Amino acid sequence: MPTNKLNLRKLLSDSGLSERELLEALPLLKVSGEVAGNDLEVEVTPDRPDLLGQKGLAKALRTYFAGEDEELRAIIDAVPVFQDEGTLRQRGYFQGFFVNGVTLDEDDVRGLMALQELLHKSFCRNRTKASIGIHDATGISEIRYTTTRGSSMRFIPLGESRQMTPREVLNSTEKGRTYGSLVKGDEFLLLISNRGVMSMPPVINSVETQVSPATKRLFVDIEGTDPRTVDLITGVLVRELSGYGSISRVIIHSPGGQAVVPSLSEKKRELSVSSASKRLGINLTPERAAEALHKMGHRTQLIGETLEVFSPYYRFDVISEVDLIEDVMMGLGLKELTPSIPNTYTIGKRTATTSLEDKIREVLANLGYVEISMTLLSDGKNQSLVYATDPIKVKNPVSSSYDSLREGLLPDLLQALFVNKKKRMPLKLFEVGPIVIKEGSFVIQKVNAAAVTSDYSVSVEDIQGDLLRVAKRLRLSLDVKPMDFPFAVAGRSAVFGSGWIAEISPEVLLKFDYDFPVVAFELTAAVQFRTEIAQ
Amino acid sequence: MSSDRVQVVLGFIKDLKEFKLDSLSQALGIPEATLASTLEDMRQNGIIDFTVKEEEGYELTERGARYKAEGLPETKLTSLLKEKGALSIDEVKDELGDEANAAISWAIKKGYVSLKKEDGKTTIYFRKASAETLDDLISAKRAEALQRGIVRKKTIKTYHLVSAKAVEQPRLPPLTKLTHDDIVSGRWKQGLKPYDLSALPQPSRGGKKNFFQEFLSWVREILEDMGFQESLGPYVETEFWNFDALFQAQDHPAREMHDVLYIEGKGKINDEDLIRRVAREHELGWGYSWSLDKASSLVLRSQNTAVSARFLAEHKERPIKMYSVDRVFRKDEIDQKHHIEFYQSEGIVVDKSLSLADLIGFLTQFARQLGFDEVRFYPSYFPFTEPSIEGYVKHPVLGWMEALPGGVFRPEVTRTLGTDEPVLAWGIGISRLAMAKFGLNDIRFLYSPDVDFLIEEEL
Repeated sequence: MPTNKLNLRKLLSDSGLSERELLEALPLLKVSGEVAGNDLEVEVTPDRPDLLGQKGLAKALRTYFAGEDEELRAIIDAVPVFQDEGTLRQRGYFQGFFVNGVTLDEDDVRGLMALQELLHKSFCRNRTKASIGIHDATGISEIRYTTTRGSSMRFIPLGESRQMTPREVLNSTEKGRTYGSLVKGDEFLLLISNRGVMSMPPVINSVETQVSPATKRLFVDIEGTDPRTVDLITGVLVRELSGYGSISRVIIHSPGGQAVVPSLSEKKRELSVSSASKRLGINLTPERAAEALHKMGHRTQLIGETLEVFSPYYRFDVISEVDLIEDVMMGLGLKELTPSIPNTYTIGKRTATTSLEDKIREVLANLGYVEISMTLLSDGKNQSLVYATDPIKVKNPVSSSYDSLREGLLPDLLQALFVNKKKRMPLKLFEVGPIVIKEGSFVIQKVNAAAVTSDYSVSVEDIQGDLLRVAKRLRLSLDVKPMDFPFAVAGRSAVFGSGWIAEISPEVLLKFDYDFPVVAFELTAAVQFRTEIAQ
Repeated sequence: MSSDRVQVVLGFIKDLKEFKLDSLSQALGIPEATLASTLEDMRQNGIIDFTVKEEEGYELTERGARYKAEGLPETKLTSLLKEKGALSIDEVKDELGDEANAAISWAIKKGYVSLKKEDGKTTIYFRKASAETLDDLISAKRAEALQRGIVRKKTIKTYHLVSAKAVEQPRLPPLTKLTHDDIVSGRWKQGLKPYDLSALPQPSRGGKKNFFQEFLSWVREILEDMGFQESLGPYVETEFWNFDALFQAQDHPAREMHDVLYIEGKGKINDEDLIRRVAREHELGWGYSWSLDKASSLVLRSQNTAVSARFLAEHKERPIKMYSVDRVFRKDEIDQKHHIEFYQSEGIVVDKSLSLADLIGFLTQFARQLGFDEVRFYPSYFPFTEPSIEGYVKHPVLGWMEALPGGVFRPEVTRTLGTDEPVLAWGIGISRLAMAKFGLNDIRFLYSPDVDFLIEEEL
């Protein structure tokens, strides 16, 4: 979930709430907030990036508690913006807008840059889908989104002190090395104005248009590969920056014609008040539903039983009626719903596999064994100390201790014996749990049960009786035949229907740094799933 | 030190309180010097301990030994005379050889015989029989025996055994651990040694079911009491069931390598209709070209909602109340609060005209059964439910904690899975609730193999 640090004092004054009111209000908007000194650390849900910024959150709070949202009025700016054909070969999608009459202090500038970075990392997927440029627009009378191949266009990138060509930027700046791969071939994207290079999307801005507290007018460009993300980010930034100044849209002149961006249009969708009532479990009047929606920033118009809902330009998460129903719920507050238990008659029951696991636990605990419960993810190295086969590997493991799926329970039990080596003998441990193995083109998931007994001196005959008790409880008939296993002492192990019984070879024990004799048995209680794998 | 010799010596002396070195030497046929050094070695090796008393004593000389075997010469002489009456000196010399002089002089001195000189010839006459044996002589007339070279002086060593392994006890020591054989043989009658029962050992361990598994079993029981039926699904799952069937877009951040654990290979999805429905919902809803290949990728199930999705696709009977309390996997850094493997308690309810208020009712009841009486709900977000809510429960120590996430499945999900009715769903991080219940501050304790911990931990 995306998180941001906001200026608490400004948020309180912008929203008109006390600190206590604010902290109580945030969860109503799905925002979790924690005060840390002068900051408010907020975490928003991925469907509401418009709440991630200082002004966006304040506006939503004000709308929720103080009435309807102010309508966004945007004029069309006189500065022409051109998009050249070459950009279509690269990232293609481009939007922009001006913000007029801004007053920013140091803190606001920092906040805007932080928000930009946050959006880059999360919603823009590290700039692959979209990237943002926020510029000081002072003295700009024409903007061009274009491409260049040569080295004639030079500029001083942010954080550098000398002029560089686009190629140099990619090779010798940190941002260049990080994001250079997003630019295809040797054709570079540039945003230029009558004052020179503004930025080299999606890599870096020029110092020329760097934003500072002196900045009075901003130009914001959003470009990228994914039109939905470009629209989303544009909406979020318009919403946020409209809190700092007035927005003016631009006319983009491109080979395909002219377009006024951003569109900033509301989305109209119908909401049946009766389906909202049914889904939420509350009897709503159209007026009450409408009121709830207004608190959430929507406009409504009642037509018969149906509300026509106009959702603001920055809400990209409203894709079906249920999304409006959630906003009705949030506008009402969950306290308005009366919890109910429906009279739905069904019979509770657990699966045969779980019942079987319960039975085995019961009998082994009664036989004096202590149950351990380990993870299915296991250390492949430990597995291979016992088994000759290859366990199923995780492609992207977190650490080598959890890089494989265990193919039997014995390695974890031997590891557990090692952990308890200094404890009072005898040690009797068991586990009932899942294992996963690969057989041909199938991945097979089983429930196994295994028990180990260890003492100063112990014989495999000592646990035969325990195995027989388990088998009797599970109604398994055991057809025991001698068989050697790589982990067992030769001549002291046997196989039966679905498992084995053995004295563990000292060679294996010593690999686990364990030096007391161990006898063990393991059986498969159930084969749960066989999943066919295409190679 | 020969261990054979030690065994022989130990076997012989272990039941003795004291012994004389010479007697032992004779009995065992081991020279005294050798024996003395063996005993000393045994002492130094801690096998036995002893004190030695030294006293003046005597031992037979070779002559003494001969006299012991053959008799004293004067006794021999009287026996001879008793038979013959009288013998000349020469005859005595013929009979007794070198001992003749000693025999004659001691026999005279002791008055056994008398001497008569007749015609220049000396004849010895019998006077009385001798009753004196060598032993009498040695014990009664030590000075004479010394003078005659029958015995000589010697230091006698007497060993007092202080301890010996398996020797300390008198012949019939009291028994320590009583056996069947002791009872049958009557050996128990020789007494049983008392035990000191005030000295306590470690408590017995005994067998025990795992506390966390017991907790999960309890959760299952609660849900069964509420009428829920258990369903289980595979851990190695296709992205299709884990994400696509739940309307999570293929570029959703939760599907990236840093959030989900991937397994090599591709799974098969056999329901062509279902595949078509999933593709349509994704392409309409998210506006991208849906890929079956991506959906076929194998992951370790990251949410038990995959089980709900499978269940809904397969079960057309109504009403349905299903639960699954089982493992899920996430790629995460393992620390106090995070693990890559944990348990989720998943549930769905499907019936005509169910509402969000019903979901809140179910979650409130479930929380109460778990022992959390205070519950409150806030709006939340999950990709496959709308509306979505989060229930907070009040823990006596930890305060309000996030615990009960749920919602009503989005129509995109229910349309895909072929159901017209509303589906109430939740996926509770039950491992975290277990930690709160047991007062554990580290999730890794749930997988602890430490037997002392496992024996102590109780719900």
